[in-house]
Amino acid sequence: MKLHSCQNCWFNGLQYGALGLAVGYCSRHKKILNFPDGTTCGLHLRKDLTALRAKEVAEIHSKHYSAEFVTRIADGGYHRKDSSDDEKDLNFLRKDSVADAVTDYGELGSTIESLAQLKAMPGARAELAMLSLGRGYINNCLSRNGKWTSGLHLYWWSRLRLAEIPEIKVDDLRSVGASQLSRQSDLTSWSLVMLRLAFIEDITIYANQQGDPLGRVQSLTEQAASALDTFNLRALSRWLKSQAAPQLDARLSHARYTELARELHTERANAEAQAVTPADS
Amino acid sequence: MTLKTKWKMTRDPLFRGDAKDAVCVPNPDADDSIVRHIMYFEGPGRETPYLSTSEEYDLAENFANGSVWETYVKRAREESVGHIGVTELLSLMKGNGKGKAKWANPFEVMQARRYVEQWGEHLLDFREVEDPAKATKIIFSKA
Repeated sequence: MKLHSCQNCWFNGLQYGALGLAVGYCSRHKKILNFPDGTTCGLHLRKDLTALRAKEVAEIHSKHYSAEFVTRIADGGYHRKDSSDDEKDLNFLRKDSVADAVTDYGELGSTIESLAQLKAMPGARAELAMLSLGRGYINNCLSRNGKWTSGLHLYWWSRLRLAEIPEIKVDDLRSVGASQLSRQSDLTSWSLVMLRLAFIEDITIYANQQGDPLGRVQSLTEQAASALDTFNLRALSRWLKSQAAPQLDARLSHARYTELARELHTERANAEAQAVTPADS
Repeated sequence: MTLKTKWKMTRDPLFRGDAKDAVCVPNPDADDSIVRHIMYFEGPGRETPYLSTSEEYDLAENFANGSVWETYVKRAREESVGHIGVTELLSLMKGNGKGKAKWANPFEVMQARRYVEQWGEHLLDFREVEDPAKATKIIFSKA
């Protein structure tokens, strides 16, 4: 699978490596991706890297491909059949509950609502969609001078399931790869936990840029990779519980989360009140 | 029904997805970091002294821009092309990596290791090859 293809992009919540549906969906171009392993575009941000690295790589990538279209990696050209926004196709795709939330994302301003919907859904594909689109959501908030706390709830939901190993079902897999089915399931589960860690790390980086104590947590992806030499899911879960969780909780306890959430709510309520006032007066 | 048998260097080919008319030509003098190569940071047009291959035809097909090519380790070695197999790659890519797989970011080393296992990846090493264009023509044929 090509690493700079749509399957490995933040804006495609339906796929990541072997995990996902047969088709993808691009939340930027608002199109079904019929050929997600062979297409890309100039907006591509890699899921398999932490935010800062993904942005560095994206800068090089954007020089090769157009940001306007979903283009073929092989020739850089636009091929009509590679993507679709046909209503019939979209209605068919929406029969899948994860895809329904993913295609809804960003429609009528419903970004955080779609992410909350995904959080409530069971299964590895729902978590993939939440993490993947969540990375884009927070990055977008920050690029508009938002606060790191725009991702506070998303962070907390991921923190709560930090040490849980996602169960990969056979129909969650798009391909088997070079290994046996059970091994592919383990490696896919591993990759999803790493996406969870990368997402948490994005937040800690943004928190660090804004001087919040959560930002003092050292790179969890690097710590995990240094501590674990094999793809053993039990060892990973133990490490997350005993090493990663205490570091995060020491900087953002439940009490502090509640306090920040309350502040966030008040700020939003005030902003909404200000937005309503001119029209009322 | 076919059963997946373990790939054997003396018996089985290595597959590479590439362009229809030819296999791309590596640059023996390019940066020889293995993690950099596998993680494809520089994207299209990047210079590399390695060519990635897979034990599986179907996996190589995912990377093809027209054709799947094949070669054998023995044939490659006759042209001074080195072979770094899956097992060796996996053993090199732990922590910050060892040898040519040494890399500052252990997370990226780990991601590369996962890809090697998932793709059954072997590298063909052209660092000691004098004429890489000629060597790729000799060692690869269409699968």
